[in-house]
Amino acid sequence: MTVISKYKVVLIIILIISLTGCWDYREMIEYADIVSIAIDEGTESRYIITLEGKKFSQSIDIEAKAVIYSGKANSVLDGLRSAIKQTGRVLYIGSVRAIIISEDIAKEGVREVLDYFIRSNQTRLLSGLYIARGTTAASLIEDTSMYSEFAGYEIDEATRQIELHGSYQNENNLFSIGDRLLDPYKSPLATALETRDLPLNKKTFSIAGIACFNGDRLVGYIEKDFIPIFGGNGVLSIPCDDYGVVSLNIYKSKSKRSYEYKNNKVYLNIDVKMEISYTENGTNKYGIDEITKEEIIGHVIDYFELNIPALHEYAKKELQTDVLEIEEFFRKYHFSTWKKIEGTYDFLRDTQVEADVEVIFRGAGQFQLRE
Amino acid sequence: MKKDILSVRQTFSIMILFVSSELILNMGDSLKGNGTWIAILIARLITFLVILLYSYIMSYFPDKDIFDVNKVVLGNVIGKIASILFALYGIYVAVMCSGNVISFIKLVTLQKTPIIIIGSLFVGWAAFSITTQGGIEAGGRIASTTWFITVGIWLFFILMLTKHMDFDNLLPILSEPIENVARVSYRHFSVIGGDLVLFMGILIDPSNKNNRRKAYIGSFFITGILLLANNILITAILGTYVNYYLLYPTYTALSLVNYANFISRIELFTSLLLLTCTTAKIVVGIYVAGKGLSKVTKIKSHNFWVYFVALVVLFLSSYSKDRTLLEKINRELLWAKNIVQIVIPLILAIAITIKKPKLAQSELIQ
Repeated sequence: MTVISKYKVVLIIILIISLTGCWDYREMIEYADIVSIAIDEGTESRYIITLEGKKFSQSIDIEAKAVIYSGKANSVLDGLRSAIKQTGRVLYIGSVRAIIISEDIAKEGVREVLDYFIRSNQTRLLSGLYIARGTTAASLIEDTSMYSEFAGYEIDEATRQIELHGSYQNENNLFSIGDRLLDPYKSPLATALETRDLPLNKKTFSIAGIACFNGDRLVGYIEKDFIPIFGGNGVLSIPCDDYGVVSLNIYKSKSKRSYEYKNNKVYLNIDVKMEISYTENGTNKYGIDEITKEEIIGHVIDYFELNIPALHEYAKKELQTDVLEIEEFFRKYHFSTWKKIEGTYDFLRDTQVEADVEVIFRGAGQFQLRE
Repeated sequence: MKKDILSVRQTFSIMILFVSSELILNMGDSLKGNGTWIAILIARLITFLVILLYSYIMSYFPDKDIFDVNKVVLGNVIGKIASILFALYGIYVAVMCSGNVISFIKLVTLQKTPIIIIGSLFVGWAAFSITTQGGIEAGGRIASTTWFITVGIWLFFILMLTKHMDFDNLLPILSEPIENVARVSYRHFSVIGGDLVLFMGILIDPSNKNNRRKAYIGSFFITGILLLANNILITAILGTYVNYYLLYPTYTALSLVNYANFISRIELFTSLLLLTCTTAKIVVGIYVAGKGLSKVTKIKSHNFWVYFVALVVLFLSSYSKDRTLLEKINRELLWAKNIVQIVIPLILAIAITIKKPKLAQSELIQ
C-alpha cells in the first residue's frame, strides 16, 4: 500500500464518520414541537408566553394531541425556554404556524418580539403573524379549535381560506412583515383575531379586521367591511336602495394606480376592474327577478367609488398611517418627482384619492337574470 | 496516470458550478435600496472584459497552464513570484469557500457537530477527488452531467414561488447613489467574476487555441443569466430590505416553497445545490494551488501539495469561532485579490503583446 493510498483510506474513514452527523441527531419524541405561540404582556415579568405544542402518544399509530405550556420571562427566547422547561424536551419552533401578539405589546412595538423569530434559523418565514384584538393572545389558542386538534393549524387555515378571496395573500407572513418593518416607506399589516363565544360554554376565534402598524407600533384596524376594498376580492354586502342588501361574490379584481402631480398636489386615481356574481338568490328583501343586472352594477360602482376614498379618509383620520401606501407607490413610479418633494409633501394628508370602477356581472349561477 | 486535461464542455460545466455557488452563499454584496441587479450587470460586463484578457493570454500557450506562462513570459524570478501569488490565491479562494460553507451548515443545520468534521467533509473530499486516478478530469465529467440538474432544481423551485413574487419590489429601478452601485459592482466582480482567473491554472484541450475562450464565454452567458435572474426573482419574493439583511437570501426564499402542503421543506435540495457548487469551487482552488506549488518548489509531487494545501485550507477555514471573520477579511482584502485577478494578467498580456515576435520564434507557441 503506497503512502498516498494509506492517506486515502484514513480520509475515507473520517468522511464516513462525518456523514452520520451524530452530534445533532435527535429522535422526534425528544422535541417539544410547537404549533402556535401567544405572547402577552406580563405584570411580574415583561412577557407571558403561551405555547401550543404536540404531545405524542406512545402507541404505534403516533397520535399527537395539543398541550399548552406557559412561561414568564423578560425576553422572547427566555419565555419560550421557560415554557417548555418542565417537559425536559428540546424546543422546536420550525412547525409554528401562528405567532399571536397581544394588543398591548403590539402598541408598544413588535420589532423586538419579531426580531427573534426572523433571526432564528428554525423559524419558517411562512408563519403568520396575528394580533389578539380585545382579548389575550393566550385565549386564542386555548381550546378554540373546532375541527382540528390544534388551534395554530386552524388559525392558519382559516386566514388562508379568507386570503384566497383577497389580494392580501402575502401580507400576513413573517417574511413580508419583516420586509415592511425594515422598509421605511411601507407599513406592516397583520390579521387581527378575536374570541367568540359558542353555545355550551365553548369558544372559538374569528377574524376581526386587519391590524395596521406605523413603523412597528399598532395604530388601529381596518374593519372587516373595508377588507374587500383594501384587498380587492371577497364577499361583500351592498345596500341597494329599496331592495335591501345584496350579497355579492367578487371573483376577480384588478386595480391600477395612476398618479398626477399638478399645482403642488398629488392626485391618485385607482382604476378597479372587477367581476362579480350573486352569492344568494337575490337581495334580502326580493328575489333575483326583482332587480336588474344594470341596477346591481350601478350600486356596486357607487359603493366602491364612495368607499375607496372613504378608506383613505379613515386611514388619514383614524389610523394616521398611509396604509394605502400612497407615498410608496408614488416613489416607485415617479421617483424623480418624489425626490423633489420628499420630506416637504404630506402624502397621507394632502393627496386626493379617487376611484374609477368597472364591473362585469359574471352571472347568477343557476338563475336567469331579468334584463 | 492522472488525467489533468479538461475538455471544453467539462471546463464550461465546472465554471457554471463554480459561479453558481454564489447563488446560495451570496458572497457578493447588495444595495440597501433598489438597483442591485444593475450593479450585477456592470460587474458582469467587467467580468466579460477580464475573461477576454485571460483567453487572450492563454491562446498563445494552449498546452500550458498559467505557471508555465509566468515562467516563459516573466522570467524565472518574477515568474516564480507571480506563480506563488496564484497558488496563494487558490488557497484563499478555497479557504473563503469552505469557510462560508462551514458557517452555512453550522448556522442552518449541524449546530453541534464540530466544524472540523464538517470542514473535512468538503476539503477532504475535494483533495481526494483531485488525487484519484481520474484526476480533475473525472470531476469535470461529473460536473458536465450535474450542472444542468443543479440549475434545473434551482429554476424549478424558484418558479414554485411565483405566487410570492411582487415585481413592484424592484421599483424604483435605482434608488441608491451611483457610488454605492460602483462599490457593489466592484465587490461582485472581485468576489465572483474575478475568481475565474483560477481556470488559467487548469489545462484545457489544446487542439484549438480558442477552446479556453469558448468555455469562458459559454459559461459567462449562462452564469450571467443565473445571477441576474436570481437577484431579480429573490428581490421580487423577499423585498429589497429582507434580501439585503439576510445572510443567505436564496436559501431563505427557497424555504418558502409550499405547494399544497405536499412539496415543502425543500431545504435539503437547496443544501445539496450548495454542496455541489461549492465543492467545485474548493476543488478548483486546491487543485490550482497544489499545481502551482508543485511547479515552483523542489517537491514536484502534485498529490503531496494537494493534501498539504487541503490541510492548510481546513485549518484556516475552521480555526476561528468567529464565523464572520472570513467575511471581514474578504472585504478588507479585495484590493489584494485584484493583483492576481487583473494586475498580473494585464502585465502578462502587455508582455506577450510586446514580446510576440520573440515568442513566435520559440517552441512555446504551437
